[in-house]
Amino acid sequence: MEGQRALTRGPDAARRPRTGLTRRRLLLGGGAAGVAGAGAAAAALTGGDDASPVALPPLSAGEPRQHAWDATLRRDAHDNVLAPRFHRLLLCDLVADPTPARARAAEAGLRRLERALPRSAAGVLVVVGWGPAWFRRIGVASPVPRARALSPTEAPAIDDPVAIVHLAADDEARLDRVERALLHGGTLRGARGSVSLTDLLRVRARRTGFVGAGLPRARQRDVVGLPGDRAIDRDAPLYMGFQSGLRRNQATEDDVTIAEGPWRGGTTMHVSTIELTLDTWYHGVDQAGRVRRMFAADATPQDLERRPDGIANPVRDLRDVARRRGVVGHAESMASVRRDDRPIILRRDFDSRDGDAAQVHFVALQRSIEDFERTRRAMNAARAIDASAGVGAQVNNGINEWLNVTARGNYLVPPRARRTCPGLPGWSA
Amino acid sequence: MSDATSSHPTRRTTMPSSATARRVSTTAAFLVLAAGLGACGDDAGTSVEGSGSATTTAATGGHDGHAGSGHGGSDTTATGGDAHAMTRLGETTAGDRKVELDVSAPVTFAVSEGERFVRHAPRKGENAHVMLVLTDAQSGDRLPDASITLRIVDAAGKVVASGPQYPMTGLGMGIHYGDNVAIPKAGKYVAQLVIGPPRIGRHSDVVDRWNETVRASIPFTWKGSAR
Repeated sequence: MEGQRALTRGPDAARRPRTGLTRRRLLLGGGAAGVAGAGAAAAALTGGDDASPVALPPLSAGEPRQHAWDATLRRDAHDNVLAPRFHRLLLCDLVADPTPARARAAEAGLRRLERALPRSAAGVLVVVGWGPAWFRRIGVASPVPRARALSPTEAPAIDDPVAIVHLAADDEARLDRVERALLHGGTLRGARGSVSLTDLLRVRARRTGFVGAGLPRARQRDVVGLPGDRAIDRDAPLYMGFQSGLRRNQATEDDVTIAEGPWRGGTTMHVSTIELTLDTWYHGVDQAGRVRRMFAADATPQDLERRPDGIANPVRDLRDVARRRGVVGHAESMASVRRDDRPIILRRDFDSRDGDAAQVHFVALQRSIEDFERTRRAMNAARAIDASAGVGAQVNNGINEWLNVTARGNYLVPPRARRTCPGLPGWSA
Repeated sequence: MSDATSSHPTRRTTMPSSATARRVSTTAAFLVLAAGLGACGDDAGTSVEGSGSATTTAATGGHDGHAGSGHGGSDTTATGGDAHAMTRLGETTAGDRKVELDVSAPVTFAVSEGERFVRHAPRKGENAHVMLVLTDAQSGDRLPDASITLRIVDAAGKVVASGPQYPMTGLGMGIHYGDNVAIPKAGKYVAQLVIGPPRIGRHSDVVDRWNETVRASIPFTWKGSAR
C-alpha cells in the first residue's frame, strides 16, 4: 500500500533494539530521519490485538471514488446536480492507537453500511477524509497542508482533527440513524453486523446542515444572522437565495480527481465554516444588487433567468470593473481561476443553523489544496480594492460583506478502497 | 481581567446619521501597499484578549447635538438630546493596535455603493449601535480603511450578533467602524474581533505596522439598553 514507505522513527531509533519496538513508539516517534523497510514495519505491527483479524467483507462493486456522488444524485430541469438535502460533518479524533486490526474493523463497518444502504441520496453517501494530524500520527508526510487563513479579513480557527466523516442523504431521520450507528454507539437496522467506527474514532465536533428548495425558509426562525422580518424565498435552496453548484460554475468530479501519484483516484477536501449576516443582504440591497454581487457587476436577474445552468463569467480586469461600477461580483472575481473553462473546485456547500447561528459549511473538492487557495484568494479581489475607493475588502466586494470565516480545515479523501487509515503501516484493505 | 460595565461615564457626541465617505482614498498617500501585505501566516492570527476599562475615552470633538445634514438625513431612530449618548463598553490592545468599543442607541447610517449611498436603518429588534475606534497603540492615530468583523457571544459562548463593521464617520466622531446590532438581554458578553490591516497608503515609518490580521476580545456587561 502506498504510503507505507514513510514510517519514521524517533531520533534514537537506531539505538533501539528492534524487538523492543512497540507500535505506539513507532507511531509517536516523530518526524526524525529514518525509514523502516516495509517488511520490518509489518513485522513490528502484527502482534497484540492484530493477532485475530476481523474478517473483512468484500468491497462492494461500483464507483471506486468516495467523492463521486453525481451519478447517483437527482438533477433539475437544467441538468444541474441537486445536492443531497441533509448533511453531517463529523470531525474525529482517534480513540486509541491506530492498528491494522482497528482499521480493519472500521473498514468492515463501512462495507457493511454500504451493503445495508445504497450509496446514493436515497440511501447514504459517505466520504471519509484524513487531515494532517493523521499523517503526523503515523509518521507519514501529509499530502495536504495544514489549513490557513486566506484573507486579511479572517482569522479562522484551524481545524486539525485526525479524520472527517461527511454523511449526506435526502432523509434526515435516516442520516441521524446512520450517524448514531457509525459514531455514537448505535446499531443500524438491516446491517449484517456492526457498522461502528467507535473503536477507532470519536467525534470531536459535529456540524449539521441542509440544502434544497424550501429548507432555508422552513428553518430560518430564531436564527441569528437571518432577517427576522422577512421570509426567505419559498424555493430558495440556500439562505442567500441562489442555487449553488450550477453546472457551468462547477468543476466535475473527474476534474478534481487526483490523476497520478500515491493518492491517484482520490481528491482533497477543504472544509470551512462561514457565519452569515444577512440582514443587510436582504434589506440593504435589492434583488438586482444581490445578483450583481453574487455574479458580476453587470449581471441582471434577467440574465439568471436566461441561463439557469449558470451565467458565463468572462475574465475581466477587476480594477476596471471596480472603477466603472463601484462593485465587483463574487463569481466575477474568481473567473480567472479556471481550467478547461471550468472552475477548479467542486463545491458541496450547505447551510446550517448550528448554535442557532446562520452558517455555511463550505465543502470544496479539488485536485490539490493549492487549487482551493487560488480560488479563495481570487475571491478577495485585491486588485479591485486598490483600484476603487468604493470597493473595500468587505463592502461592495462580491458577497464578502456577509461572510465571516470562523474555521478552516484540509483533508485528503482517498479512493474508496483505501478510505480507512490511509498509509497506516501494515494495513491494506 | 475586569469587565467594563455601562455604568462608566457616558459621553455625548454626534452620531453618523450622515456618513460622508466610506473609505479614505489611498491616492493621496505616499505609499500604496501591495495587496498581499496583510496576508496571514500559517497560524490563525495573533489573539489578544482585552478588558473593559473604567476610563472614559476622550471624544474626538465632543460635539453635542445632532448631525442632521447629508445622506441619511436626521432619521436616527432615537430622538432627542440623549439619542447620541455614547457609552464605552471596553477597550483592548491587539499588538500594535488599540481598539475601543462604544455603544449608542441604534442609528441610520449610509454605506457607499459606487455612485450612491445606501441607507442602513435599524432593523426590528436592534437595540444598539456599536462603534469601534481603531487606533495605533503608540500614537493614538485613527486607522481608516481596515476591516473589522465583530461577533458578540453570550456567557454560554452562543453567538448573538455577527458581521462586518462598516467604516464610517460623523460630525465630531472621527473615522470609526460600526453597525446596529441586537443584544438580546442584559448580561455578560464578549465582543470578539478580527481586525485586518488598514489598506491606506503609508509613510515609510509605518509601512511595517498593522499588517497582521489579529484577533481581539473585549468582555463587557450589557445592561439592557445603550443608555
